[in-house]
Amino acid sequence: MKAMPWRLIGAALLLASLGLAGLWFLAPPVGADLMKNSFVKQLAFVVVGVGLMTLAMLPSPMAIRRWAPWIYLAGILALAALLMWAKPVRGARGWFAVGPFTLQPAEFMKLALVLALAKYLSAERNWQSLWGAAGAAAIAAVPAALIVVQPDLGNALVFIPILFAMAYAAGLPRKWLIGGLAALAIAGPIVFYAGMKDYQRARLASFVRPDLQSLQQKHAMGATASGGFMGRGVGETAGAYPFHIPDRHTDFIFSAVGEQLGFVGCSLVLLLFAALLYEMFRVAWTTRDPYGRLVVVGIAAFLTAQLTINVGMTVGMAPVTGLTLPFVSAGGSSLWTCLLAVGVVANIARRKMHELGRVT
Amino acid sequence: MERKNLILLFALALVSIAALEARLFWIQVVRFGDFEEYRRARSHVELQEPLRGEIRDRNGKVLARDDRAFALEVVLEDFEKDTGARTRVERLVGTSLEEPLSKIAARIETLASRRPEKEHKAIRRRERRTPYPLMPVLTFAQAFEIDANAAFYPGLVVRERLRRTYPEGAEAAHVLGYVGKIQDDELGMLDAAGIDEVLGPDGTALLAARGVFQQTVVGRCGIEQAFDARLRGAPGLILREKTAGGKGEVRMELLTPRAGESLTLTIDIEIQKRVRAAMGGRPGSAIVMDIRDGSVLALVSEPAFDPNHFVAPTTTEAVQYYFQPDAGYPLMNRAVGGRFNAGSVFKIVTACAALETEVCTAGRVIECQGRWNRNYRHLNCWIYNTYSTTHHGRDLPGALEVSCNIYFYTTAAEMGMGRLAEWAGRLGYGLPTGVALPGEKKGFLPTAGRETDAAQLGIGQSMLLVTPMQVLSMTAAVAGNGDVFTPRLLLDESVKKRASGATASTLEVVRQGLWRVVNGPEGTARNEGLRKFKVAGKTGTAQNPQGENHAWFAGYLPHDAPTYAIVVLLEHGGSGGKSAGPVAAKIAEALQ
Repeated sequence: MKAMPWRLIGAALLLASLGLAGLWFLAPPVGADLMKNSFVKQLAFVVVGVGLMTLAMLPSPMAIRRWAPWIYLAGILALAALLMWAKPVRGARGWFAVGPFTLQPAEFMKLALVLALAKYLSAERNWQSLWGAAGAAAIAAVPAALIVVQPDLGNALVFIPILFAMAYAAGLPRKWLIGGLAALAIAGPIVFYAGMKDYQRARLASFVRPDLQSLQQKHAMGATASGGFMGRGVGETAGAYPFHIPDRHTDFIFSAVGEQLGFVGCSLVLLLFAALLYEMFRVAWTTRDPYGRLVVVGIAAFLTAQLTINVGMTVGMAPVTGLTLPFVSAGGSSLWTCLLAVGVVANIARRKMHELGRVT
Repeated sequence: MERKNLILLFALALVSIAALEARLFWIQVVRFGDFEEYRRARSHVELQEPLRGEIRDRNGKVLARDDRAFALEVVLEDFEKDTGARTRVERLVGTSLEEPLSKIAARIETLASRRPEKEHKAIRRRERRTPYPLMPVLTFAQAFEIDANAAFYPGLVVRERLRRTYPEGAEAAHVLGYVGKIQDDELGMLDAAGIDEVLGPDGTALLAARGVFQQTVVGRCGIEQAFDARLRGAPGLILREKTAGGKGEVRMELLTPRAGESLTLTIDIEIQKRVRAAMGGRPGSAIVMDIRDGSVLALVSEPAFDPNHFVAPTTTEAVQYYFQPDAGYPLMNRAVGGRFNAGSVFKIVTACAALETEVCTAGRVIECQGRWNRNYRHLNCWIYNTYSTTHHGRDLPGALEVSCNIYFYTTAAEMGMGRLAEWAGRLGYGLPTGVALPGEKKGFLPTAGRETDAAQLGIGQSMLLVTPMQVLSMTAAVAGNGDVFTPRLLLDESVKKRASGATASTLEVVRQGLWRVVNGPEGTARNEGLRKFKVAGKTGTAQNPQGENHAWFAGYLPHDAPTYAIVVLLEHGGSGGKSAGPVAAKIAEALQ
């Protein structure tokens, strides 16, 4: 056993506590009970999430690798079950109700995909043939398709950077990667015109033409910008009504950070993410386990993609897609997925050579 | 796999973060000034009331609709800048605004108190820039005055709104009901309207705290209450945003309102008016039903109220009047919610039951000696008590004609309580009729008792309590083929009926008796003008502990091809034939 990667865990926990503090100070829902309830709920999520993170450190990476296809399969089944049985929440069949809580399998699926894809790509024959590469694409495409039809475009989009980053890290020939990107570029407009719902099209169009920008995004951007360099101070949300930016404590939490803590606060948050990613890549660099390396790359890819899209939509650089800010946004599924992911990375970081078993 | 690939990936991640950082620097630091306008913009969300569905009679005549009206809202910040504004507007509307203004102040404080101390100032500032409802109703002249002289009335905003109107006034009051302001514990009803989905629970809570839903109306009593969900529709939301200079205004529909559904009643307002006129303002109830499908053509309960008096602005005097005892409880719908002693109209049930249980046949003659039994001195025939004479021997139709108590004491006692109550239940007593009006009572049907109790029940006394609607329902069943209909009030309501089990031959005998009540030489309603309109029926003079007898008439017309059933009840009206009969005759005339 090597030492615990405290800096990695520390960065993750700092971000999670920022989310918790955000519920209380930055963007609390109006109404005393509502505020207390969502805070207590999030507190419970953090406590359970830390437990899950610890659990993720226990099994050997070998065992995780063995389980990966089953975890992936369970995720696919959960996604399929959603489409059959889940009640639509705001038009999307993305949540299972478990008592007073809801679970969003799409969040967990990202981690499941990383674990499974890493197993697939760590076998050399799987990335040295074109068919093998197509297989990797299929592994990512199946859950992505199940998520798109919920419909939840945002979470499905994250699968693309996961796939490409891991394929690149695995050593897939460049020309195939470039070919894949070209295929996506061609498929994009087709999906836009044939496969999307009107509101999804409108959101994407608003990204190209700011005059079509949604009210929510306009206000999120305005709120962020009006924080200025130092911010308006904690609790100064009065500039924006809660109904200007629905989901402010979840998807649009960053607008509250921007408004109240300003450029300085935003930069600190981004710096924390940069530190987290640096620690992850360091683990990927030092580990001698190819499977673990791919897993870490996949996790770093989905965190980066989600961070970029989420903050991007808050500052008007990306269309509104309904993605959470990792660790920070209120909500259990997203937080648990991120903390589990950190647990897996920490697990890989702590293993010495002899604990990794025979490597293929 | 090559480790150096990691360098490129990490570089990509850093580039993404750097791009975000650059963008943040751009909007938060470099172009900070551009968002000045956003910071100073004044915007608020308005509730857009949905058009409540109309209620029409069966011929399409409008009985309830929404009219345009005006409400006054106030933006405190602007209003209080000009110290003279309050005096001017108070002079215009003629009332003091002390109370509504202090209520608004209290609302703002409540709103602020839900948040940490340091935010209070910002919340107060924000709320004082938001329009708050000040007066629910303005006259057109007042609205025009304020709207046209905006500079003279700073901070006051006239808003168009909808006001429920009942063009026929009190005529169909108990059918229609009225609308009243929503109570705080009913706000949950609004969630379904999709407001939560647009604003989030916190946004909805904010609007509620501002009192935006205060003027929302919900149905109280009658059709307005029973079909509130269909009539109500769903409100819309509008975002209004004023830019910093107050030059432009952006209006954005966040949620489109959905108008409520209009309903068509089975009521015919022309018949309804004539039935009401026939009652002549005497307390009681009269109902007319089409026996072919159970649809109610007219439903009157007197004294009535004018539903317009309950729609804001209500005057305290008008509302107080309706609640004082002297007014005779006008809000009670006697047709379905009044419980009365039935009296002799119940003999129809006894007659049916006696024939069905074969206790007697149509031809069985029972001798009336004025007194039923020497053991029970209080069980006499009415003719003995009034004229000290007797009915001599009568068969069943003849006993109905003269309403002989002895005949029905005897048959009821022979049947016993159980069998008589069973048939009363089959004909709808002791059960709600299922009419779609709130507050329906099921009355009381005794089901067990001694021989004397059965005898008493046989003439509709005993503990029995009935509603006029139950009596009507029974009359319609007897006039038709024995099916008991659920009374219908909406044309699109499905026809629901159940068989009472009374056979055609039984009904034929009973109908013969009811024909003789009007046409027989000794019929209790022979001189009341009913014959001309081919009415058959039964009178009832119900003794009751509260005072003068209740007068009943339950019948149908025309007797050779029954189409309409009528029930008339005059509370403490005296003799059924003499008081209720002529009212029924006037109703029959209206039905020609």
